[in-house]
Amino acid sequence: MAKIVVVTSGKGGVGKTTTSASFATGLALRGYKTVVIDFDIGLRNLDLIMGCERRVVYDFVNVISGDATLHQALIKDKNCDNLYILAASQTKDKDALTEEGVQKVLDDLAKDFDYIVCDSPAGIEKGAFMALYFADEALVVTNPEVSSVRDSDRILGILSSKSKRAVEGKEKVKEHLVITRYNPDRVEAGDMLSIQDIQDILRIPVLGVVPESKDVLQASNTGTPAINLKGTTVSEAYTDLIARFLGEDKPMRYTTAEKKGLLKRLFGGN
Amino acid sequence: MTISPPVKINLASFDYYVLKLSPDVNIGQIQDKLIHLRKLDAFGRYLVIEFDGKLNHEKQSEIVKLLKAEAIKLMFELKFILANEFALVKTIGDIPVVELALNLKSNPIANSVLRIEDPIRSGIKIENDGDIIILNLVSHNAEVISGGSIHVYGDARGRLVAGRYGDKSARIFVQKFNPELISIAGVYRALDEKLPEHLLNKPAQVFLDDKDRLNVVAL
Ligand SMILES: Nc1ncnc2c1ncn2[C@@H]1O[C@H](COP(=O)(O)OP(=O)(O)OP(=O)(O)O)[C@@H](O)[C@H]1O
Ligand SMILES: [Mg+2]
Repeated sequence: MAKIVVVTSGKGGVGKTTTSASFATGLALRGYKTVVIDFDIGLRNLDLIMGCERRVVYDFVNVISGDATLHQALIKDKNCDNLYILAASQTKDKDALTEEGVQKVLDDLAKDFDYIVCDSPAGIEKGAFMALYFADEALVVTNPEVSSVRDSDRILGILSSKSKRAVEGKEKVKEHLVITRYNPDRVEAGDMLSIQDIQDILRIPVLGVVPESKDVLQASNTGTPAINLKGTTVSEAYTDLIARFLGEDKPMRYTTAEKKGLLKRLFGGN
Repeated sequence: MTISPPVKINLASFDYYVLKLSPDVNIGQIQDKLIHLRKLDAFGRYLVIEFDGKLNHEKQSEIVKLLKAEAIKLMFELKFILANEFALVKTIGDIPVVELALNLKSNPIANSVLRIEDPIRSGIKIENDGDIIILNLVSHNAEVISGGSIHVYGDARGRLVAGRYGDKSARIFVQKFNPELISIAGVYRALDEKLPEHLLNKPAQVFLDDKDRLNVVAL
């Protein structure tokens, strides 16, 4: 039986799609058959980040409305055998995501896949709600700033009160915190919240901390999930995150400011 | 604060910011405050204006006009505005000003205690006619509304409303005190400024004294 994992945040632009792409790729690299679904109807971002936008013929909404079969709509990842993408449609009709429709697609996928990763749109409207409704686990993506953390708190509230598991009184959705765009230098300078500050507000376990890095932009420009940019801090951080998700014990990396040498401290130079 | 006429607005159903306005407030301060509030949260909310008793009608009208113009610029979702008993204006443009009062129903019903072990997250509202005991955190912008007393054995950062039916003997007990708003039997106080050291995140209780004033004391 597949596990459904939603990648959500409340606030926009915090790194949900970046995380969804790397998380799904990472699970597939570890041998799990994984599908990642773009719930951001009308925007379509995931296929760009996964580098498969030209191969999108049918999308999620086509499958729900019966215009295409799942088999026709699933796009196999170019690098990874175990990985499939279900793209969002570019129609503006957000009502296309019906509860029954989404349920049916997820049920069908669950027969074949180990993990179903749902990339949520920002906000708390229909698309975001549908993305989290069926989740077994949630990656709550947050940036080290107050507005983002507050929105994550709000999303955690929705997970614990309005998700299918909550409504049906089942075991609650397992919550993981993913802090992205973390910049230890700016944290040290007091410009950003620290991991401790964020945990103090949200009180959920941190699954991973992904540093702020220009490599992410390069990854999305070339249509490669950041985890595939071998040797970069972002790739390493996402790889650690996957390991922790799978139950391994990995210390956090890239979370402290680089120590400046004595000369650098004396003579400045940032 | 008077609690009659009763039911004006059920405080519990709204997300709101509190804006304290002193007699010498100027446009710059209003702008700063709104920008600050805007940064705190990406979702739409309501504004509660705490007018000072010394503000006359003209000054209040002037302030609310400014407020409306600024709020629109910052994309605040102003549906209507709640204000305290010093409010003299009834509308701001097409937006009604409503006095903030608790939903005081006449007949408190039998009271069973509600115990909660999970965190109360932002945007969540917990209600019970009897006491409420929370063994976890109450986030910013979460609401706990009880007909009786409230006990929070964790960080209390949200809004705590005790004695919602008018029970003046209701109290609020908190392990780590830092709520946004406290209220007992309809008497409320928004705590939007930094609390004194001896209270901030410390054990504290809140009760009404014989003059219906809210008292907060360290435990
Ligand atoms: N670790 C990082 N370092 C630097 N930039 C990043 C990082 N993660 C994401 N970004 C950048 O932040 C922007 C938003 O990322 P992304 O699209 O993943 O966010 P999102 O939460 O999916 O946004 P939306 O809410 O619009 O769906 C992108 O420009 C991306 O390149
Ligand atoms: Mg996205």
